[in-house]
Parts: sequence; structure tokens; C-alpha cells
Amino acid sequence: MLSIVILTVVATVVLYLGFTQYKNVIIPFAVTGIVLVLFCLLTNQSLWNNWFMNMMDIQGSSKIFSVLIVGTTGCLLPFINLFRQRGAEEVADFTGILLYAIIGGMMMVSYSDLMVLFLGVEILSIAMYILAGASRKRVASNEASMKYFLLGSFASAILLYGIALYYTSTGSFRLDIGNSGQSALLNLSYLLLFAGLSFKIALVPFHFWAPDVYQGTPTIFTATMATVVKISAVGALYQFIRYCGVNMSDWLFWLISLTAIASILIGNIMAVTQHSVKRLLAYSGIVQAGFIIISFLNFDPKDSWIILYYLVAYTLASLVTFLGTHFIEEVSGTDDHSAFKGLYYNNPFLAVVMSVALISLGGGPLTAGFMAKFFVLSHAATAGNMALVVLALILAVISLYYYFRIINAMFSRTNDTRNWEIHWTYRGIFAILSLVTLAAGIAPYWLVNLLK
Amino acid sequence: MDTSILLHLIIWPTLFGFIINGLFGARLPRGLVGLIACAGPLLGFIATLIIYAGQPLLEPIRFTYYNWFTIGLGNQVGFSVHIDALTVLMLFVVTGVGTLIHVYSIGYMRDDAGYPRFMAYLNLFLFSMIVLVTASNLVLLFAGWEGVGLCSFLLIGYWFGNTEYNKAARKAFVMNRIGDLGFILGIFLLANHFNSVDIVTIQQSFGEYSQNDPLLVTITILLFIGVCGKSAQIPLFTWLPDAMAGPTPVSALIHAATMVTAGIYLVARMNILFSLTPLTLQIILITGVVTAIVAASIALRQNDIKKVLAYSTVSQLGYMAASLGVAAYTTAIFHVMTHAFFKALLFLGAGSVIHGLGGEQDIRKMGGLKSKMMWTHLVFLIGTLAIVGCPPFAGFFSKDEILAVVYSWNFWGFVILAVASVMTAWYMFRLYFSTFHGSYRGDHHVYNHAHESPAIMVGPLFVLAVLSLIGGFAGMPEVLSEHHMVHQFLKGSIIDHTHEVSHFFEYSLWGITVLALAIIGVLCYRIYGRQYPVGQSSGGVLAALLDNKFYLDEIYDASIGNPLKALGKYFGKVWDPMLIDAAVRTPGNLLQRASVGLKPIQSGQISWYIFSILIGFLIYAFLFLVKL
Repeated sequence: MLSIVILTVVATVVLYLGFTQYKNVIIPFAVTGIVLVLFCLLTNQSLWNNWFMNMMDIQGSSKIFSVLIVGTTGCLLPFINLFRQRGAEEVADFTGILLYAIIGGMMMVSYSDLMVLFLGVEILSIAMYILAGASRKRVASNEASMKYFLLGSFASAILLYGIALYYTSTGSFRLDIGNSGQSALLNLSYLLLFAGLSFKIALVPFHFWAPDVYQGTPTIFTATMATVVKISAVGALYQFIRYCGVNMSDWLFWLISLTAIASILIGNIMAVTQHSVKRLLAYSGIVQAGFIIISFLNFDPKDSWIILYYLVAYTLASLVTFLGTHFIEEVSGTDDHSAFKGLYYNNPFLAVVMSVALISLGGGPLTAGFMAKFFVLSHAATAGNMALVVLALILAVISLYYYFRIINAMFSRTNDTRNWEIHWTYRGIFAILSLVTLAAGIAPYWLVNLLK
Repeated sequence: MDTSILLHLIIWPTLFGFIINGLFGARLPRGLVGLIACAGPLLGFIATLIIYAGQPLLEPIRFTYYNWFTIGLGNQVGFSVHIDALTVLMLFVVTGVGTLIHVYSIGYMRDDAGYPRFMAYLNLFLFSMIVLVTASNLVLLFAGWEGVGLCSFLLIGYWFGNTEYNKAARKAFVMNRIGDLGFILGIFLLANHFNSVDIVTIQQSFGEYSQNDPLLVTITILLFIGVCGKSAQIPLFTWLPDAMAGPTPVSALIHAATMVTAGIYLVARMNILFSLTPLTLQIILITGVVTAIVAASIALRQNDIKKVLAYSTVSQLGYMAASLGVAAYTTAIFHVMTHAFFKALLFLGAGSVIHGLGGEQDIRKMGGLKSKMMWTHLVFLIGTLAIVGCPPFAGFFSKDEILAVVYSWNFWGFVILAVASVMTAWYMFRLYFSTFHGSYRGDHHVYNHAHESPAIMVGPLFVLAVLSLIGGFAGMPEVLSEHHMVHQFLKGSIIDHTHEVSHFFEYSLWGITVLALAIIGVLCYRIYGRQYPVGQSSGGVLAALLDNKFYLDEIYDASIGNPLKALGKYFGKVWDPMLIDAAVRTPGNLLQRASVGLKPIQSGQISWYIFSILIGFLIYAFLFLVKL
């Protein structure tokens, strides 16, 4: 509770700072707030034991999800300063909104009452609708914002309908009441809830928004969507399955298998011929989401570290690729994959860290992404879903093609010899993210123990 | 002192030297590079000495650095060290001779541009060799085995500008790989059936197996194939003479003193297993005897000073294998030790000659070097006397022991080895006399510049000469002394199965040896010592056969090499484009088409997106109804 209070206070102060002359202190102040929140989370500081009458509880895996959300935001915040170089002065607004957004995210991963889930989804989503349109003067950004808003509202409606049906059949919004009934109405509510959350995670067939919105949104907030929003939504799904998975194990198995394979297949096929790297990464995000939900099969709360490990690996790599793409967009004005050509000769540091991240996304050995896929698939294999594992592995090969196409472009020679600098803060963040990716890939068990 | 510190001192300094010299050697002063390189083996040698002096070694010292992986029912395969008497003896040879050759290399390779690289490789080689002899399980032993193979490859092809040398390196590598395949299959079989690869536990698990059990025979034969590759036995020995392309210290260290004896070490290490399979021992005996005589006969007509020594090495390895074949493992290890002394001495002496003559290796262009290179001549003479088995030099004791143990098992094996001994004496005396006696037959410009090698090269030669002189006394035959030191020392590690031979046989063997040596020495001196028979026409079929090394390379090429190449070409031209390329391209093309074909569904129209969400949900609902 304390962490949410701190975030609210910090976000509000940030908004006021925007009216003053002290625009330089906004980001340092916000990062300090994030550090404070992380401290509170990790040391279990709290004001009250009773959270909204136990409607939410940041404990156990919820805590790790929250730490992940807050930490990711901490990495993202410094990049907001880049908007000032473009002449946009709304840094305070973006920072404040982003901080409000993660309050929603934390609610989504720690609810035990569907009302809190809905509040969280809406807080996060509405903040993201605004951030998607952060470049007010660009048509693409406005279009992305609008599309995200319309489709997101539709998804919220589905979610809300699911909540309503749940209330109808159980007489409560709480998930932890141990309901074991099998009424058709209850099952329908589960189905609607799953569909609503699938939209937020961007799973097939609810993925259509992702490529369009990712491409139009300013890249820093695309990174936010790909990481913070996805972590929150996966966390919400995790809570949902943790409470209700037992009741629907039979058809949930088919639902998840089908969704996972469809996501991996469609995402991969569509990614192969994309020219825009942001679009490509959107499809790759769909594929990754497919892999993540494979670990929900044969769900056991003891294995939550597999999901968390995958999320960590995915987040580390996504942050580097999206934020790196931002710099390339700045320099060349486009995110077309030809803009990556010869990057190694212009900016070797960025090329190397992006290669590490892309290899990790593709599941290359010695990176966190490899171990993540390994854990997910070996968990599924031990549970006896061999067919699914084999299929996922074969399809995973396709993804190597489009990741390596970018790496190939980065390392091929060009005549373009513009040398450009990245501020050391950003290089430091990139370096840390890449080192953690490698460390978690070479010696995964320190991270696994941390996540347990 | 704590034993683990000694273990670290044996194992790590060489690796450290490799890393430092390999990464920064080019930027360090040459003196420092040499110092770092020599420090590794020297520290190892000192640590081995301390272990030898301080421990009765009744129980092996074991130490695990790190558990690598688990096989079977929880059996750890680790980076772990096993040190018993056999290991200590091998460590003495490896680090002791290794140190001397490192010191020698400082002088020999001084003017070479790649000096730091050379020293780094030598260190890496020693590290791998130390891993090989200290490994407590076969997997780690195999890692060292491959490490020395790699270093051998790198050092044979050290002068990589020369295509012939690269070919020699490749040949050595391929021949070794053939052997390694056998070795690794043997390890797999062992791990599969005995659930362990630890050299101690595994040898305790054969209790229920009878002699010549098919499984054990298969395993031992597979292991012996590995031995054939590494220790240059027929049919895989042809790489060793070609390996002389490397710098001479490499020939001395790797292709005479240490690496090629790894195979002998492996059999001695697994002696309990081999003793259970007399059938395999019989094969080893035959292989060893045939190798000894074939290599010795080829050496008779070689004219390259290093080639003679190379074939001599193959022949001596045959002796060792023959000794293993009669379950006299200790004797084989004893010969490994003495052979390391005198063969390293001979190679380094030959290196000194080559160095002094500015790279000349053909003995037909040598002669009369006695006066020019007094010290080299002296030590080379000692080496020659040692290898031909003249009492009381080192080779006498070990070779005599081999002849005796083989005689006690198999008379015909003994006869062939004795003939090979005569040949040994012949080609060694020929080599010695034609190099150092008579008159110089080459370019007189070279002769005038011929010089004795610097002290840093002659020093190690003297140490080795002393060892060749007295090294044999470590293993006095039973007739002369109650205490055979090597047998006493290795009692804990090796169980021999030898028969006694009569004293009369021993004495008569010595008498015949001395007499034969005297006759051959005089004959060789008369033929080669005064004036080398230049332009002597080769006589008959046998000479042609020997000159061409029994056409073995040609036979291998025709029977295995060329058919394989043809098969490769066929697959490369016909199957590869049809099958592999098509198999790779078709899914790729399909994927591209699917991707383009599916693009319209991402139309950008919100109404369509919402509609598709609806469709998706209906699919869910349908699934849900079906499953309910």
C-alpha cells in the first residue's frame, strides 16, 4: 500500500513540477521515487496490513511482478528526457502519467477481487491511450492513440461483461472464495475474462491492435507497452488462473494450447515480411506472449518462477531493442529495417547490445532468452505436452530468421558513415540490461533463486 | 604443506602461462615470455617433487574442483584430480622433460617471429597433458587427450605458411580423430554398462565378469583403437613421421617424450580392465610387435635426421605396446620414462645439429660434425648408446626387461623384437656415424658457419644426457638387485601379470646384446663412419618397399581416402542441391508466401478488427461448448 501511496504522491508532484522552471529535476525526482518504491516493495514496508479490505495483496509472486513493473519503469523514465530534445515540453505530463499507469499495473498483478482488476486495467489503459498519442503533431501517433482507445474499450467491455457474469453466478467479486461450481454461466464468465486479458497481452485472435498501435506510438512508449503493459496483463492472467484455474483445468488446457500455437504461428508468419522494425517487434511480442502462456499449462504456483524468468528475459531484451530503435529513428527518421544497415560501423556499442538483445529474443544460447525458452518448454515437456513442445520449437526457428535479418543488416557495410553519440546514461542502462541478459543466460540459477 | 596447494601448483601455472603469453605475449619482452613459459612446468615439477617426498602415496590423493555433470544414478563427473604413484611418475616425466624442453626452446626459437605464440602453445600442451595424467575420470582424461591432440595439430602446423606442414598437421589430426572415435565409444559403453567413468570405481565393478567377456573385450578394443591413434601404432602410425614438420622441440616434447605415450598411460591406467581380457592383450601384443619391426625397418633407409628418429619413436612405442600386451604394464611405463629421457635427448641433439647447420636435415649432407659440435656430439652419442640398449645406459634396462617379459609369454614375439633391436642399433649407429664422423658432404659455406649451440640449448641436453646415463638404475633387473624401484613405486597403481624368466636367459641375453652391438657398431663405422656411400644404388624390391614406407600412405589414400572423397563429391553435387537445399528453401518460400498472403487481414480498419475479435471469441465459445 505504501508503494502505491508513494507513487501517487510522486506522480502528482511531478505534474506540478511541470508548471515550474525546474524541469531538469523531474526525471531525477521520479527515478528517486521509483527507487524508494522498489525499496518499500523489497523490504515489505507497508502502512496497513489490510489492503482495501484484502481486495488486493502485494505478496509472493505479486510482489515480484510489481518489482518487475516498477524496475522496468525505472529504466524507461530517463528516456522520456529525450522528448525535450525534440522540443516537446510535456515531459512532466508524460512522466506523471507513466507513474500513474504503473499504479494500475500493480493493481492488476495483485488483485483478488475483480473490481480491483478492472480499476487497474482502466488506470493502466487510459494512461497508455494518452501516451500512445504523445507526439501530438504526428498523425500516426494520433491514429495509434485512437485505435488503441477504441479497441481497448471494446476489450474492457468484454472484461466487464465477464466480471458481471461472475458476480451473477457467485454473488461476489472475489476470486478467492473457493468457488468450485461448474455452472455454464460461471464458465462463460471465465471465458470472457480470459478473452479480455488476452487482448491486453496481445494474443491471437485479439492481437490486431498491437502492430498498428506499436508502430504509431512514440517508440519510448511502445517500449512501455511491450514491457510494462505486457507484464501487468500476464500478472493479471496469473492471478486469475491461480484462483480459478482448478475449476476449468479441462478446457483451459485446450484454450491455452490453441491460443499459444496460434499466436506463435500467426506472429511469426506476419513478422517475416515486415519492413518496419517496430511492427516486426510487435509481431515478435505476440510470439513471445504465446510462449509465456505455454507455461500456464499444468499450472502450479510453485512454478511461477518460470513465467517470471521468461518475463524478465523478454523485458530486458525488449527494452534494449525498442529503445535502441528509438535512437535509430532519431538519426535516420524511419524505423525501416534498412535504417539499421551498417549500424555497427556508425555506433558499434548500440549494434552489439542490440544484437545481444535480438539473440536473446530469438532464444540464442548464452542469453537469458535461451534459458527462458528452455525452462518453459521443459516444464511443458515434463507435464507431457510433447506435441505442443515440438510444434513450438519448430515454429521458434522461424523467429531466428527475422531477428537475424536485423543483426545481419546492422553488421553489413554501408557508405553511410555518420558517427553519432548516445549519452552515457543511456549507454549505461543498455550495458546493464545486456550484461544481465548474458549473466542470466550463462549462469541462470542466481536469477531463478531470486525469482523463487 | 596442504596438498591442495600443491595440486593447484601442478595444474594451473601452465594454463596461466598460456593465457598470459597467448594474449599479451606479443607486447611483452621476449625474456619475460620465456620466463613465464618455463615457470609453469618448473613449478609443476617442484610441486610433484614435494608430493613425492612427503607422501607415501599408499592412498591416491583426490580433489574435486567442480562437479561438471551427473550421469546415470547420481554419479558425478567432475573436474577432479586423482594422484597416485603412476600419476606422479608421469608428472615427473611430463613436467621434468617439459621444463628442459621449454628452456631449450628459448634458445631454439629465439629468432622466430612467432616466439610468444610458440611458447603459449607449448604451455597449453603441457596443461592438457597434465589434465590427461591427473584426471580422475575418463571424460576429463578424454578432455586432456583432445587438448594434447589440438596442441599437436597447432604445433605441427606452427609454420603455417608452408602448405606441406599444414597437410601434415591435418593428417595428424585426422588420424588421431579416428582413434578418438574408438576411445569415446569405449567411454560411452563403460558409462552405459557400469554407470560410472571414474577410473577407480569403474575398475572395482568388473568383479562379476569372467575373462574375455564380450562386453569387456569390445570396450578394451575400442579403447585400444584410441591408443593406436595417439601412440602411433599400426595401422594409424603414419601421421607421426609427418608430424616432424613441427619445430624440433615440439617433436621432442610431443611426438617423442610425452603425448605419444598417453596411449600407453591409458592402458596402464586401466590395467585391471585390460588384464581381464587376454584376447585384447593378444591383439595389443601383435600390434606392438609388428609396429616395432615395421617402423624399425623403414628407419633403416631414411635420410632425414628427424624422420629416422620419428620412425625410431614409432618402433619404441611398439615395444611399449608389446610390453602392455603381456600384461607387464610397469615395464611399459618404465620404458616410457627412459624413452622420454633418451629420445628427447636425441631429438634435441638433432635440433642442435639442425640449428648449427642453419636448417639442414639431410644426413647425406652432414658428416664430420664431431669437431665442430663437441658437446652435441657427446650427448648424441650417449643418447644413441641408450636407445640401442647398451649397458649400463637407461635404454638397456628397460628394453632388456621388455624382451624378457615378452619372451616369458611368447617366443616368436621375442624373436621379432630382438630382430627389431638389431635394426634399431643399425639405424642409430648409421645416423650417429654419418652425422658426426667422416668428412662433411654438404655445402662448405654452411660447414664453415657451423657452430655449437648456445648454453641455453646445451644445458638441457646435459641434464637429459645424465638422465639417459643413470635413469635405468631406477629399474635394475631382478638378477642384479632386490629392489626394482619402479616396480616398488607403482605397486599401488598397477597389478602386473608377469612370469619369471630364468637367470641363465637374462645373462645370455646381455651377452648377446653386447656382442651384437659391438659387431653392428664396427660395421656401421666401417660403412658410414669414414665415407658415406653417396650415390649408392638401392637394391631390389625390398629397398624400394622400405624407401616408400611400405606404400602405406598410398594404400590408405587408394582404399579409404579417395573413395571417401569421391563419395563426398557425389553427395555435394547430386544430393545436396536436390535434397538439403530444397528442404531448406521450400519452407522458407512457403513462409514468405504465407506472410504476404496473410497481410490483408491486418487491414488497419478498426471495424474489421472488432469484428475479428468477435470471431475469435466465437471460436473460443465454440471450443468451450464442445468441451463442456
